[in-house]
Amino acid sequence: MGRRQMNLLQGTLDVLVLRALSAESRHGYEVAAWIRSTTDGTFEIEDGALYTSLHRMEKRGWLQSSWGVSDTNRRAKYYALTPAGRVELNRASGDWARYAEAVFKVLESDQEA
Amino acid sequence: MRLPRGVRRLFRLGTFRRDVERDLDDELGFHRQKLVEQLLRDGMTEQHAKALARERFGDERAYREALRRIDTGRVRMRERSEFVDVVVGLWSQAVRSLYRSPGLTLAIVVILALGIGANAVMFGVVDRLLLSPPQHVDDWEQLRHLYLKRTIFNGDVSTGRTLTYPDYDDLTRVSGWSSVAAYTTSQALTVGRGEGAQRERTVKASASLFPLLGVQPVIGRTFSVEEDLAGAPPTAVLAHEFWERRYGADESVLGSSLDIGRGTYTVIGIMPPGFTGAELEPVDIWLPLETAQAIEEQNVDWHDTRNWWWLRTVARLSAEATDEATTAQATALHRAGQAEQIEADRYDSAAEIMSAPIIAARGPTPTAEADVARWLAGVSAIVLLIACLNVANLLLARGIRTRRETAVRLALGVSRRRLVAQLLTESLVFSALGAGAALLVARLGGGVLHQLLLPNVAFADQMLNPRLVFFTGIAALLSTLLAGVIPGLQVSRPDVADALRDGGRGVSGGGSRTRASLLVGQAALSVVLLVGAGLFVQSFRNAQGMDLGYEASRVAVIALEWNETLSAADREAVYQQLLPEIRRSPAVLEAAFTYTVPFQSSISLGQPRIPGRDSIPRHHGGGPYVNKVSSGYFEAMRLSIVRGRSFEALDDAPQAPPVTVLSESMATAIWPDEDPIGQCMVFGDSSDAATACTTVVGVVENHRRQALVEDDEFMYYVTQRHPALERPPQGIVAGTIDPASDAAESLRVQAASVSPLVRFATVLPLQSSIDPALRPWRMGAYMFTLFGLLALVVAAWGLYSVLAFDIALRRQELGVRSALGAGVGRLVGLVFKRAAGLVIMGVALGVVASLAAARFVSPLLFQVSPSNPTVYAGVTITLLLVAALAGTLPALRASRVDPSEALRAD
Repeated sequence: MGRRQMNLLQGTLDVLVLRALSAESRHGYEVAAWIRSTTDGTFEIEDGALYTSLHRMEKRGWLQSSWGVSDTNRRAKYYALTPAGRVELNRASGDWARYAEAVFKVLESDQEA
Repeated sequence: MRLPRGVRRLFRLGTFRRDVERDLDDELGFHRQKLVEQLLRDGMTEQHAKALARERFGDERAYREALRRIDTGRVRMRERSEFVDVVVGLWSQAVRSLYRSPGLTLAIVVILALGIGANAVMFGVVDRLLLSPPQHVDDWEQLRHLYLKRTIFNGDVSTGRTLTYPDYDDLTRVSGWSSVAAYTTSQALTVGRGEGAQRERTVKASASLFPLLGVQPVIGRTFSVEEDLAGAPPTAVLAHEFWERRYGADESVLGSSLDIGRGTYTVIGIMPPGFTGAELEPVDIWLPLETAQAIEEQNVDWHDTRNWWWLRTVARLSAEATDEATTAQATALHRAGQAEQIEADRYDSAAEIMSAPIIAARGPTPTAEADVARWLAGVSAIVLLIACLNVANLLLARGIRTRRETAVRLALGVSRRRLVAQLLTESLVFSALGAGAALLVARLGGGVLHQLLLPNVAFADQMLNPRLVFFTGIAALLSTLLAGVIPGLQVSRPDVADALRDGGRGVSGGGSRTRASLLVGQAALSVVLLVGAGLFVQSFRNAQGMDLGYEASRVAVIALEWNETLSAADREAVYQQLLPEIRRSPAVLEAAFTYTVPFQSSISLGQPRIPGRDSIPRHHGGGPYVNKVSSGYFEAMRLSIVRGRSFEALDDAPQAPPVTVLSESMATAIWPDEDPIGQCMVFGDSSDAATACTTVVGVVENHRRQALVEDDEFMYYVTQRHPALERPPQGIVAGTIDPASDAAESLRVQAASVSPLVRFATVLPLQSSIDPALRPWRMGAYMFTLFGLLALVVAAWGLYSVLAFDIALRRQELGVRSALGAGVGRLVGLVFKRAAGLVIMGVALGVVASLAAARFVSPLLFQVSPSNPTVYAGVTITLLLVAALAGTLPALRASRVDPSEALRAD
């Protein structure tokens, strides 16, 4: 935890969650753990916010959930991307790439212009 | 929308909203547990681990709240869409499957439409007569019709609606009634003058009637209390229907004057459509009671006499008053009014005023119409039952046809519940279609039926009466559910393997027996209705064919109305002028003056005397009745002279000696052993002219005076000049060559144009006076015939479809038989044998049921035994013929089965 933690930009959490579920279905704890480890704990994400995001996207039809049994044999709620969720993931990552590109362009441009 | 648990389980639907909380607990609990375990593995103390987990989650209360909101919304959304999916799925499947067999669907809808339509009409009648107050009546629960119950002279207790004018006046003082109104029964008065004059239904009503009922005219106003006084300027209020019919709904009629009866009235208002006052009979014109009565009845002391019962009354009960208190007070007032008569023992001292709801059919003297309504309810219920049996049968047939499909679906794992839900949905589709068609049937058939059975009731002309629609919907729902139960049970438990094996042919399936018994039931119920029809038609024919003496259908009765109040001599002069003209009419065989007309009027002058005898035999029916006629009367009426001679032209001459003709019954009673011809009788009191001998010159056959069934009464006839009855003729009877109704119009024109003094002439076939007496049997005959035929059509249709269906199922069997050499005759015989077997069983059951039920109708029959063999034989033959007819087409089809094709199929 040497690095400073950052607050997440509004709406960004959804993209991260979608991405976390893009390869396989996971339960909430796995999603949280995946994001945490993938970003090396860059973002300070409250677990409550993560679940809110999951449920909101389930309601929107981007995710679908099912109850399964975890590796430790307990009842767990697994989330998976729906086709609509996959479309949303593509759209949102495209937006992000262009956003980041634009930000970088500005930051790396010459000061004289 | 939340589906019931069973339905949700049935369709394997997702979570309930109440599960949201539990799932949330589980999910978040699992998360926390995993996290704490991880932290423990990282070496943290349990206490720290738990605290950190809490911290990482954030504001738990707020998040939980947000999550709960999201989840609830999601579940609700899903439930809604699932519900829609289920309903849409079921309906579209139902519609698809009905569409696949359009013939059957049509058959079921038509049968339902007829059965339910008949009941919708019935409900309309019951609603009008038994459930609803007259139209436009406000707050009807507080309104009361008043009745008078008293013992009359012959010891009978009479309960009636009519009171005297002083009675009405007294009753307005009863404290518990906030208002009392009086009105007459409908009376036909001449409206207009000359050629265009018409008889219209008028009611004289007190000014209080309209405000008491709480009705406002649509245009203009109703008459005020000041306008309802003898001598006030006459005003009239028109019924909406009359206004439209006569004036094309022209508003300028307001303020114009209208000749009605003997007076001329100013039109001041139009009532709303359908308004009939406190009764159900249609009315054309409302006249102010006292004003109009003073004009019409100049010679009668109607205002003060307590001896003339002519007014119906209606009262509005005050909110705090009770029926007991008001009627007690009214009774006291009534008895006080009759005190003198009671004192003299000429009036019932126990006479009492009673009050009853404004729905007359529920009052102490229910009308004939109420009986019709009750009968109609019973008869139409039988028709609906037949329709239900039939629909059940058709559904069953369909179930058997789709047996293999059903079995396949079951084998594929479709649940039985789902199948039943499917059947129920189909039933709902049927009831929706059936109810819609039934309303159409009711609309088309209702008017005809109302006219036929209840011509004197004003029905609201309203297609979508909400009560009617509600009733029809419920009836449709119940009948389709009833019809769907048996097929539902049968279809939901086929033996899968069995059904798949025999390819849906199931010759010996249990359904066959069920269908047969449904068919037998239909046939039996049809027999009951047709026997009813037969008995009533027979009664009607007997009643109509009664020998009345005269020939009512070929006698026209001509009566004149006068412009002014004419003297008796002037009236007689006009009649004298008219008679030869009528006699010359080519349509008329013979015509004569008359004073009374059978079924309309009769008069008695007390006992005649016979010189040398103390008294003559009395007749318990009263009389003897007398009629004053001119020569030609018996010929015009087609009454035969039994002995002696008829009146001749010479007898009409002023100086002719007084002669009389007696009825056979009277002549035989007075002179059982002697020849009555030439005997002397004295009519009237002992004033000099009347004491003269009147010579009996003839004896005429008996005739019916006022009822279809009555004893032969004593009747005698005197000539025009006879001093015993010095009054002008009341009319002319004309014996016509063709039915009197054909000649009526030409005779009316002839009579109306005879003199300018004649304001209006009425010409009515004598039959029209007798028709009301025939009405109960006519009504029964119409009703049972109509519904009986309906039942027959439905049952025949049912038989046809079952036979046709049998043939379709047995194609293979028939093919084998044919291949093995069975002739066409044998195949056809097979079909007819089955038809005959079913129908004969049904007829047998129906006959037994009819014999049991006929006991109840026997008092309503006319000279027909409830077990009349002709009727039963006729019905049996009819049913067998119809069965043969229904079997013909299926039989033909059976005979054309091609063995090779039938065996190859499937």
